[in-house]
Amino acid sequence: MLTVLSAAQAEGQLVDIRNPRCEADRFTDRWPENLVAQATHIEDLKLFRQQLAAVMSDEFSLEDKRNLLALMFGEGPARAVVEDFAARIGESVRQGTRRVGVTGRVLPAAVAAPTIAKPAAAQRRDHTFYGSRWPSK
Amino acid sequence: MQRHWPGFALAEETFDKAVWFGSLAGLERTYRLMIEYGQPTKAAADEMWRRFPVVRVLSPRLEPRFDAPEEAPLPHVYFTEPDLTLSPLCLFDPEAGEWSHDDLIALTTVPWAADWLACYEGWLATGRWHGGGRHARTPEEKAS
Repeated sequence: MLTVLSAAQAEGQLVDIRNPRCEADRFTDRWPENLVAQATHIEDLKLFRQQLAAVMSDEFSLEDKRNLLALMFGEGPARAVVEDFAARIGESVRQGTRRVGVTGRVLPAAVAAPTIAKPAAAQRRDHTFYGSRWPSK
Repeated sequence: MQRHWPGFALAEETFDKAVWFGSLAGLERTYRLMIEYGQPTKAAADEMWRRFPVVRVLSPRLEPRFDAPEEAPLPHVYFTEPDLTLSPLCLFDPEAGEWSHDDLIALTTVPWAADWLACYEGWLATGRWHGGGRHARTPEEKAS
């Protein structure tokens, strides 16, 4: 999409997308309304692509990614999806259904296909997180 | 250890103590850890690492959150001052007999540390600890 839009913009034209089953049907007859709108959309797409790359990278914490998702989709959806993810991981740890790869990465059983994470040994061994309380509490 | 966790290497070994350094991948980050363990003695007050394997996160440093809704300022650790970030992780309930000196560290402590790291990253992002667990009872709670 970005390539097509950028090519049209470089030629000083609005993108022209037709219905492949009906050439007379022009999908882009109402949008973009002008080159400024088209240029703005191109820049938005480039930013979105960079943000997606950051979400997929290993260089940011889950917290960083939650903040990034909030910028992309809004605070509510970002919080909800990260909460769901954390809860799913936690449940799989509590239930002992998670898999641990040889690198130590924990995956819920539902997504831990052998091709994704080669399992380390001793996958099932119950344990309970423990510890001291913070003194001020 | 090397067979199950190639990312861990023995860094120190004496007749009754061993220290490993190694890496575990969390949900989004890779952490460097230290595991310290020694044979228990007959002394009544053995060091912690003689009672069970002591796991500390070296990098990236743990991030205490005093405003977290749950488990502030760090979840399920044995708080160690002055540097909270080096507090040993609490990976099992010693009162429930979930670990013994007959257990292999590679098959218990290390995967449990991976569990802790995954839940910790979720806690950092949400302030909620989803990994379950309990805390040691205070002397007042034991007395009541």
